[in-house]
Amino acid sequence: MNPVTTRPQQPGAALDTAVLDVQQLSKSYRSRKGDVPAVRSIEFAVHAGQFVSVVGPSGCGKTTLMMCIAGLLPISGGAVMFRGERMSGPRDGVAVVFQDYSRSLFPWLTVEKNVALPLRDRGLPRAEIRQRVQESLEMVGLAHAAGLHPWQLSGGMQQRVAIARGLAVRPEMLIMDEPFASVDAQTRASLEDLLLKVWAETGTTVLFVTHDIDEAVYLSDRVVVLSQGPSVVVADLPVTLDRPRDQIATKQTPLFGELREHVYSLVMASQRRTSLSGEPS
Amino acid sequence: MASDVHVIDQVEADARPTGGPVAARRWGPTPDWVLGVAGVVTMFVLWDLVVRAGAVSVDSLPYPADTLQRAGELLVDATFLTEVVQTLWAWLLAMLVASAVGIPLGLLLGYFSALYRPSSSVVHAGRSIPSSAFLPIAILMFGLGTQMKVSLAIYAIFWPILLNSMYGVRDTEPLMLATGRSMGWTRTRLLTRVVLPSAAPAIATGLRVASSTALIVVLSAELLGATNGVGTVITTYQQAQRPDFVYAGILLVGLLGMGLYYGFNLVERLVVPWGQAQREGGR
Repeated sequence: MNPVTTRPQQPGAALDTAVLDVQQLSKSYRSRKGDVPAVRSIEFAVHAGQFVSVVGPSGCGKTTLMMCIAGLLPISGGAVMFRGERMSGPRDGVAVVFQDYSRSLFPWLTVEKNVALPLRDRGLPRAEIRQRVQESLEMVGLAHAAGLHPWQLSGGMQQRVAIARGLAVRPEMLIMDEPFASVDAQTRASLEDLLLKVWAETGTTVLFVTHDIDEAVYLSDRVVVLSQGPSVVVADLPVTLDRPRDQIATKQTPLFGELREHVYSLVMASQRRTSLSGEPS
Repeated sequence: MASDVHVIDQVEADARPTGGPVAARRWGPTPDWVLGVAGVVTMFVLWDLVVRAGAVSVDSLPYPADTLQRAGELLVDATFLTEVVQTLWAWLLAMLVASAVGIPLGLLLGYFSALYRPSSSVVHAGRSIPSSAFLPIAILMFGLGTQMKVSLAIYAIFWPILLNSMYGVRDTEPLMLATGRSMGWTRTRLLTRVVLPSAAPAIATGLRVASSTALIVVLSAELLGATNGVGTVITTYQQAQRPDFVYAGILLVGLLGMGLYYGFNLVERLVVPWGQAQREGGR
């Protein structure tokens, strides 16, 4: 088995400062029986323009971690540094795309207005807002749906609207929490490729949380593997597959198979450890 | 029971080579209003048959044709129309007052968790008391005029309006709030941009329920002793031994209720279309 890599690993990436630096992040939930740890001492960094996936067994606290990094949940310990500044809440430059598009888009607004929402309080002129909305919708191929309401669209289209909303602010970092988990396989593959295209066009940094190992390896520059909860980082693997990637060709390369198997064994190992001892060592 | 029905649907859908369960359940291209009219016509035919068969004496239930004729006469009768206006006026006042108090209070109680639990027990106690229990007190306090009717109706519809507003706020999707927060929205912006629009369909439902209840209570108060309104016309004809006019009045009241219901439905569909869409697409 390959050795577990520690950061930094991307050549060149170590030179500039990280966009996102997660330092010793821990998060516990309060309950009547005391604090229940969900994640503990998570540590990894994301450099500008990188596509980094976070994978882990289900129930390992991926969503909690994502909410903490996005500033939507208070953290219990450690720090989340964005461009060298400690994050204390949601901030400009970071856009979030959630798994459940049907509950994250506002049904009372048209597609166009949903996408324009994050631009509203920035004192931008109307024309500028309209142009950016148009641009984002074109990027996800939905310019024709601007006047429709989210509930008039298919699931895959709704998630594209959510992505367009994320892109409209031209974020430095896009955080995505299992964005394609609720759509069918074909839609998922085309959304993955759409995301890679948009990522290549915009150069935005992406932090992509998923439970799907194939998806993580296929999309990313790096895969951060979490253990079963309370989770820690068990591996931080570089993915050196050539870009642009292709759903068939890339997935047939021996390297893809190796990476996939490696991540899979890490996830399974952490799951087994917890189920035997109840506590990962 | 419900799950049995579902299973049968599934089996039928699977058995069909093309077309889904939706196609299987469709009535065809018949428009809704045709079906509605068909229902009304059927009712009149059955009514006619019941009287013709002698199952009920003509003194207790007149022929539908006679009743319709009397209804037509009432519709051009200025005194009757004045009383209709009186009834509608009481209905409108009750709706306005109950909404003006119930909606903001419901939003408040639903929004602040500290208020929600203590208030919900009071609300559930309050709404289980029928407004007719307050009829004697209302007569003592306000006499037999419009005020009495309105106060009873307000009591009756205050609860559904309040409850629906409370639930509407409580049921705000947490992920929508998280979405708003991720865009850096303050508490006020979350309230106006997320909480209020997502509570709107529930509030609309509350108003629709309240509108029919208000009409029922106003009419009941009129039948039980108020001095103006459609209900008093009906009692007058009853005392004059004119069942045909009594039924004509009842028929027109039913028509009024139906009009209000469809009116509210239409407004709901125009003002809060996402409520309908979510109900249909949600589950």
